[in-house]
Amino acid sequence: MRIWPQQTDRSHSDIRDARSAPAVKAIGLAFAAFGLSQPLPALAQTQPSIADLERRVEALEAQVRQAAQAEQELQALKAELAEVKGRTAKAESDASQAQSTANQAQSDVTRVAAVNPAPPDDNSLIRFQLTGSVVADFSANDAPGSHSSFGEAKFLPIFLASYGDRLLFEGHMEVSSTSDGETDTSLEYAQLDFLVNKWLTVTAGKFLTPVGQFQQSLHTPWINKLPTRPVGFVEDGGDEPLSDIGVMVRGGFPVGSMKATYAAFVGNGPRMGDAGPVLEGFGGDDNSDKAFGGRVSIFPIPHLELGLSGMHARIKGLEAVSGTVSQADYALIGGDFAFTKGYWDIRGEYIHSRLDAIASALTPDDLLPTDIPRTTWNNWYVQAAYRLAGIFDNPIVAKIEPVVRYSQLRVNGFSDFQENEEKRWSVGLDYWFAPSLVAKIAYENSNFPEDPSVNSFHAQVAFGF
Amino acid sequence: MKISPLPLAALVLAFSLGFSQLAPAQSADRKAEPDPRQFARGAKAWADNCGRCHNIRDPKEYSDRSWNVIVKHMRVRANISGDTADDIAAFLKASNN
Ligand code: HEC
Repeated sequence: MRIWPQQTDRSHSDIRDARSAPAVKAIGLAFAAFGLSQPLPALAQTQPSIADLERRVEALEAQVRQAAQAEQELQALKAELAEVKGRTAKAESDASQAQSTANQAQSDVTRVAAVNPAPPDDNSLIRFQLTGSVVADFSANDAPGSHSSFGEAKFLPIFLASYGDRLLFEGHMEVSSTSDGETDTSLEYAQLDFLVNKWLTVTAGKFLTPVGQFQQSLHTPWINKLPTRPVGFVEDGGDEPLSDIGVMVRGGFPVGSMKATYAAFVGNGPRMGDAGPVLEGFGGDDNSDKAFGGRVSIFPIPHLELGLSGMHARIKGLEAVSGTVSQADYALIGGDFAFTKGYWDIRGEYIHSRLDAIASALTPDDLLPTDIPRTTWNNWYVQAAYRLAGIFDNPIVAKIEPVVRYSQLRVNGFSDFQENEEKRWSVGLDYWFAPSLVAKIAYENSNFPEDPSVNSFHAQVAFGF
Repeated sequence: MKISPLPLAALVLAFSLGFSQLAPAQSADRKAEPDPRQFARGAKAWADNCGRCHNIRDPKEYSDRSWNVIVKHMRVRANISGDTADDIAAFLKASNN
């Protein structure tokens, strides 16, 4: 310690001063003796006055008192010094003790660290995550005989579980309340993904058909910017495939400075229904021909995606009570784009599909199959949304997003299937409380080939978690 | 129902490929000090990719543990390459506290 030698120096000098004190005292006393011895001859010679002598004695006494005081002070200093020394020694030993405790702790830490390296944030092999969304909506329209209604409330839980780095399970259910008070549950997808390498994932199970963009990427209620789906991109009687059961490969890779994605599947494929092919995953196949298809996309610039989709299947006619049904080819091609930059979200999609002539019942109760002529569906939408945060700083206005969409479905061929034809304008306003918490309102105007047009109002609250 | 050999073969291939890679890759998710270059790449990839279909989600909305799984989910859904997904995960996990 550095303090100590300094202390020692000071104490040495103190000691030196102290040592010199008795000498002073001795000299003082000698002077006093000399002083006392002097007056005698002087007395003889000059007869100094008593008062004079008394003054001298007083002066000498004062000197003696001073010497005694100095002695006292010296003792006090010595005591103080001793105390300081003691304190310093104590401090030093405390310090060295603390130092050794610290050393010990340090070496303990090093030893423990060597045995148990710093744990990663989560090193469990199996990881589980529950996500999903809830949605509630309200709608009213001016069609004759209709009335306003709070629509079905839906709860859509998603279960995710991963094993290590390469395996992921995704399961998505839909639990909804129906108009007759029942609860409906359905399985949107339940798939096992093997992340084979950075460019390839192989999926098995029930998955969203990798065709187009609405069903795969946008239909989730907190993502869809309008409370409704575009015409034709719907669950019943729609033109865009919903799901399939089978195997799928997908991934993304760089192409020079651009990016590309691909997805291809083989699955059980669609079955025949009363509004055309039912493009959903069935847990069994009614013919041995598998459906196949997929989508590729490129990003010529980072915020623009251009996609191309296709699908082929062979569809078997729905059995009637009697009579023979036939099989027919079903084919689909589609294109989609999405431009999502800054506050803009502009996208669109086109699907053209065709079912060749087929003999099929429309419902299982039909006595005989119907001869259905070759039928084509043309289905598209474009949608633009702009988040007002791009123009206004006001924290409330900045959360508003106006949306406009035009969608249409045209059917050529079998007249029963043409009932789904529609052209629709939709305008809406979204208010984003959070990135996945939204309140939407929308007005729609629908036009049908035969029936009068319908105006409708929709409101919806959706939350993704 | 007749099972055609093609999907079956693909499935077997997938399983064997998938499992042969499970073990060695285990340590990749460890929360090391974020490498600044990976963090920068991840931030850019997050901005470029994660707002394409829905609003870009705030890193603070989920814990590291949740992001580990969710980024895999999105990697598959959005056809994001594995290395980009790793960068995004590193960025999200370094930005949520
Ligand atoms: C191709 C469109 C698309 C892209 C790109 C995309 N997501 Fe998603 N995301 C979805 C869909 C669709 C859902 C809803 C899941 C569902 O309903 O199946 C979702 C759900 C989520 C959720 C909710 C939790 C969950 O896993 O369901 C989070 C968080 C999320 N995405 C974050 C991200 C991040 C981070 C990125 C960038 C790596 C990203 N998303 C890119 C389509 C996309």
